[in-house]
Amino acid sequence: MDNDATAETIRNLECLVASLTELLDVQEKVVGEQSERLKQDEEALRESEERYRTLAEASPDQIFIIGKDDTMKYANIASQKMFRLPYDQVIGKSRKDLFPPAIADAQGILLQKVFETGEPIRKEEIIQFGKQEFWIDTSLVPLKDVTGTITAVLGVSRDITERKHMEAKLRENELRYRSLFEGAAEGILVADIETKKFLNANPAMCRMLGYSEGELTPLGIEDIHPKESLDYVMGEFMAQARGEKLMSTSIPLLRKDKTILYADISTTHIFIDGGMRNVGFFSDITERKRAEVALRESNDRFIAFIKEAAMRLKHPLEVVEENIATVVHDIERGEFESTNVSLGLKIQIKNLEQIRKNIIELNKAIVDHAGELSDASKKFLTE
Amino acid sequence: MKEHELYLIMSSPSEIRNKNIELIEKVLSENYNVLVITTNQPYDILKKNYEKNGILLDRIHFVDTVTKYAMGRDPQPAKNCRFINNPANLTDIGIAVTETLKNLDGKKVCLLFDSVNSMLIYISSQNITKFIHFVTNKLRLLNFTGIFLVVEKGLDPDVLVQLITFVDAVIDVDKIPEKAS
Repeated sequence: MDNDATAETIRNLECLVASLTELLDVQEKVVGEQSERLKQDEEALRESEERYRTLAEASPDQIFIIGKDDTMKYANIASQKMFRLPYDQVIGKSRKDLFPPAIADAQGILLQKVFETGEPIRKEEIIQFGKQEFWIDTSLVPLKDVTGTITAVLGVSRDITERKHMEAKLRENELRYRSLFEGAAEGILVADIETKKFLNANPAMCRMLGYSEGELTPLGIEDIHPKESLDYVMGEFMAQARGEKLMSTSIPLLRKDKTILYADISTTHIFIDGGMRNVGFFSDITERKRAEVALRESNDRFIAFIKEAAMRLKHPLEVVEENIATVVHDIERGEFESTNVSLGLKIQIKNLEQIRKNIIELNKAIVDHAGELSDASKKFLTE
Repeated sequence: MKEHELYLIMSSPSEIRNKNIELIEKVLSENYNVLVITTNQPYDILKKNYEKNGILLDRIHFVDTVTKYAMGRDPQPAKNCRFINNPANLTDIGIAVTETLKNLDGKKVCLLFDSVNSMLIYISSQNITKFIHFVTNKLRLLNFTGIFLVVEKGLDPDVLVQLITFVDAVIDVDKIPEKAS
């Protein structure tokens, strides 16, 4: 009996060993598979890390990682260049030792905020490095572990000094040209060549026409010229748009209150805001035209005066001369009656009196329109 | 000269007196009754000159614009003459002309105006063209003949052109050969 029990025990042990061996085989297989997957994952992770490292190292932006202990955990080549330190002298160093104190303090505040809130921050600021000033655009992003705890902050900084300088330059130029546009004494009007609607008007143009800019810009060419001159004005506009003409003179314009003024318009055509535009420079010549009309009228009056003077002075004196000569002739030939001689001469005296009055009348007409005569001269001419 | 027509006669200043006499002789020879409007020579002197040239005055009427003005008082009345107080008094001249012509209605009448130039001493060229226009219209309405004496050199061309539009013909007597005496 004891042999049977022992054999049974041995058989059981053998079964157990076989089972265990089988189990071990399976486990070894599983471990092998897991080990293989682990290797693959490690490889993939390494490749990914390599890819991102290459990306970070190749970036012209400064990319760095700051740990919770405020030391530099990573700094790309661009960051190292900024610090002017090699990698091994940057990594592990306190952040405060890498930046000037004022900058380090400001950074510290931002970092603390990111660590506390878990929210990324972006900021543009001027920093002084050595003797130079730089505009830096910095983004700070929290890095979390698998539990969600923030372990570090990833920072990306970009030197935007050039862009800021260009922006400042553009603003300066814009301000300069806007000042010129706003301050010009001439009216300036920008019109779309195709639609013939206005896009911009400067204050001088608005004053000239009596509109605000808001009222003027929805209007077009047909709204600011008298209807009877529209065909001509359109022709001039298109000739200027084609570059065939630089200046159109004495163009009538219709103000908001429907009165007319006249302007000389010089034009340039330019491509702005996605389209071809005519930029017109308007010089109000209304006063000059009035002066021309006044001069023309003055000339006409002067000519009328000298014509009238010739008819009412020069020739009448000839008539008087002729009549007196006749009286003298009659006296010399003895063919006179004293009453007729007396009457004839009295008539010539009256004629001469009237001629003198005509001279005074014509002089008054001149004096009324002459601005620069002294009172004494006026009195002499008109009395 | 054609009846019912109006003429502008242009002469030199020295010849205008003689032309007056010649024209009177001519129109009388064509059986016109004449109305002389004189702004230069007084009635007495015209009458003497006409009589000296053998011109009868029975068919001549006068509107004298200078005698009363020169004398400063009413002259001796004359049967066939109306005296106006001032050559510039176009209203009274117009009335005198109208009334005289009315009295000659139905007859063959010629008006002689001596002269446009001497009237310019007293009124402006604008007013004289208006007055001449008034007289020519009246003559046309009455179918009368008219002669207006003018010294061409004494008138502005624009004024002369206007006067020419009021008449039917312009005659420059200085360009007509003189008749043998």
